[in-house]
Amino acid sequence: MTTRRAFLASVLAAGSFPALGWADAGSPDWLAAARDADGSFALYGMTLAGEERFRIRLPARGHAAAAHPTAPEAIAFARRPGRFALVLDCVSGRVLHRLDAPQGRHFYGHGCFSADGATLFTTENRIEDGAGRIGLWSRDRDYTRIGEIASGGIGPHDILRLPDSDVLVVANGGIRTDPDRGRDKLNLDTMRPNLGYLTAEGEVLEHIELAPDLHRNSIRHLVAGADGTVAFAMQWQGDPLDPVPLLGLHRRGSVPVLAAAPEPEQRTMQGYAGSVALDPATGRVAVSSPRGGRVHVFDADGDFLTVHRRADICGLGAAPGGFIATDGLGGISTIGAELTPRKAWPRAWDNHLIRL
Amino acid sequence: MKFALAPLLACLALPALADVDRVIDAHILPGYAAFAEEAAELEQAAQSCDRAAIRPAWNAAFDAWMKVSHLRLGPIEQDGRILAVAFWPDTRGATPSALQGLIADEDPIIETPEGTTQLSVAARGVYALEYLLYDPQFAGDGYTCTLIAALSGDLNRIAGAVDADWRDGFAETLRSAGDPGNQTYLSEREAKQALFTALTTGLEFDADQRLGRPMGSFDRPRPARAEARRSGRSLRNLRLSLVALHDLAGKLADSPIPQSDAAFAHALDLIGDLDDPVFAGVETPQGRLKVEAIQQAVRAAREAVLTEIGPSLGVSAGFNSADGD
Repeated sequence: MTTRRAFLASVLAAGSFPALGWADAGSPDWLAAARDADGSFALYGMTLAGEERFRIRLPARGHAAAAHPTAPEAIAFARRPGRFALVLDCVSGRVLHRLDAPQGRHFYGHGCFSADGATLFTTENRIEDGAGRIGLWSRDRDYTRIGEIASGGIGPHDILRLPDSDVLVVANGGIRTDPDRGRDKLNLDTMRPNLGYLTAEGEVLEHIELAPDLHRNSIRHLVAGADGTVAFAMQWQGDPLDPVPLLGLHRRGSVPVLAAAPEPEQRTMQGYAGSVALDPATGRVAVSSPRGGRVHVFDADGDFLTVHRRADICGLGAAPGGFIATDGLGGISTIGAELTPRKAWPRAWDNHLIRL
Repeated sequence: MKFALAPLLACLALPALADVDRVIDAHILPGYAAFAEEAAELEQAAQSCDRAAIRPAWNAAFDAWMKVSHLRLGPIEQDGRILAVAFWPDTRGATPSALQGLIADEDPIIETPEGTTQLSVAARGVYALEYLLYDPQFAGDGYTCTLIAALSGDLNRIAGAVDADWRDGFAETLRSAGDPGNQTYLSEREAKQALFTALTTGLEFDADQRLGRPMGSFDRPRPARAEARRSGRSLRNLRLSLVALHDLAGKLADSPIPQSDAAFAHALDLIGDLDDPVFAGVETPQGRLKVEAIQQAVRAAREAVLTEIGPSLGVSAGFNSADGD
């Protein structure tokens, strides 16, 4: 009788990878990076019940991850200005490949796959002039760099693919940084973030900018609904107590709807939305503010519904009945009518959780 | 013999007062009780329209508020109470314009407590009262007097409700962190983290807002943005806040904190030496230098508590809130 472990060992020894799926990785429901209690960093595969399915050690603090649509592979990105990303086999825990940013580029910490899973797209900075780039990597060729396209702005952060299509959506955050200057923001007076819709060939299909008085509202994180609605979360680079909207809802060809809680609740977000998620069952959208210790939930039209409070809450994803959230105290909470903390792990969950 | 032994046994049986209990019993509960008491006095004083008589009561209530204003957890966080007590910084001048609107319309909404709670938070709380008590543009009588009384009563009701909510429920929620059924704090570490966050964000608020707002930039100092400058409380508020935060630090730590003590003492020394109650001096290079030195000292105190107190409690500044992306 061949045990599963022996089978996997033989597969690995043979150097070939038959069609393993996410079930082989223990069927995690979501991925997230974390800092462990001993100060080390790892990527975790977790279930909606808060159970751990795998842990893969990372050499430095992670940010987000990109999950392959079918194969149990995840790309773990270092925090910006990261120079590398790791392709992880979520079954064996091995590092399959290491992606090094090309000369003169660094990663911003997010990426996504093409619909067929053959191409990985990564948001990058062309350091010499700060132009945003999208790097293309071929999974079939061991994640060789096969090209790059313009992101359509400065500081591209999150990137996703619209469901059932190969249209890419990029959050060009607008903030110029230079790794020689760490995480300093170099252009706050002139920044002009935008939301770009691109083809994989780099054709700009649509390009959305907000009103000039919101030019300091950095568009950073994205989620898309099955109907093509894109929700974008923003980080205000002006006074943190200005009650500006931090969430936008957009459908191609229309004007974006900006969503905010009524005053004075909105100012408690402190101008900072960390993550965004969309509940496909209801179209509701949640944004988190770890600085305010809050999650705001809006309906599909962008009308404010409710606030949930939990310290240092940030990672968000859709889950049956609403949302699942992670926080820097190691907590995993579900959000339906109420926020209910379900489990606390001795680790600090990092900014994002990636639903599989 | 039996009589003599009993207290000894009681002592032995008593566990060392845990840090969270110590903060609740010796910092939070007395702080909110005092605030409620002073707010009640203010409501009494505001029954007259004699500003000279109301101001000392308002100042006493504000002093009491400064001992708890950093405790941004629990009852004060409910229903927007914190901003209804303390709407500052007011980045868009909402407080004076809301008050002007009410007075111009002689809006009868303030005739009942329920009506007053419907006001914009910009028109409520200690900062709105400061305008009415000190700003010449609000020197009128009649409706303005009614407004002072209404806002004082509103403040007293919030202070009383927060005090009661702490005593009757939230203190136990914080104490029982980690117990089955406690849905707010899943572990004792989370309770310590909440108090530690109050400490570090209080220090950040002092450095970035109380000092940073009037400092503005070197080329563009903003003395008119100093907190509570109409009543001359800017420096006083900073001092009271630091004294309260130092008290919290000492009670939260479970061992001596010499570095933090020294950092707080240094900041308070600089404050004691500054002869500039509303930071008006930020407009001159020498004056600005002195205020900047205080700001650096407050930031050094924050660093000290992060390195000295955080690790011993097993907590740190918020992983996501302090360092997002």
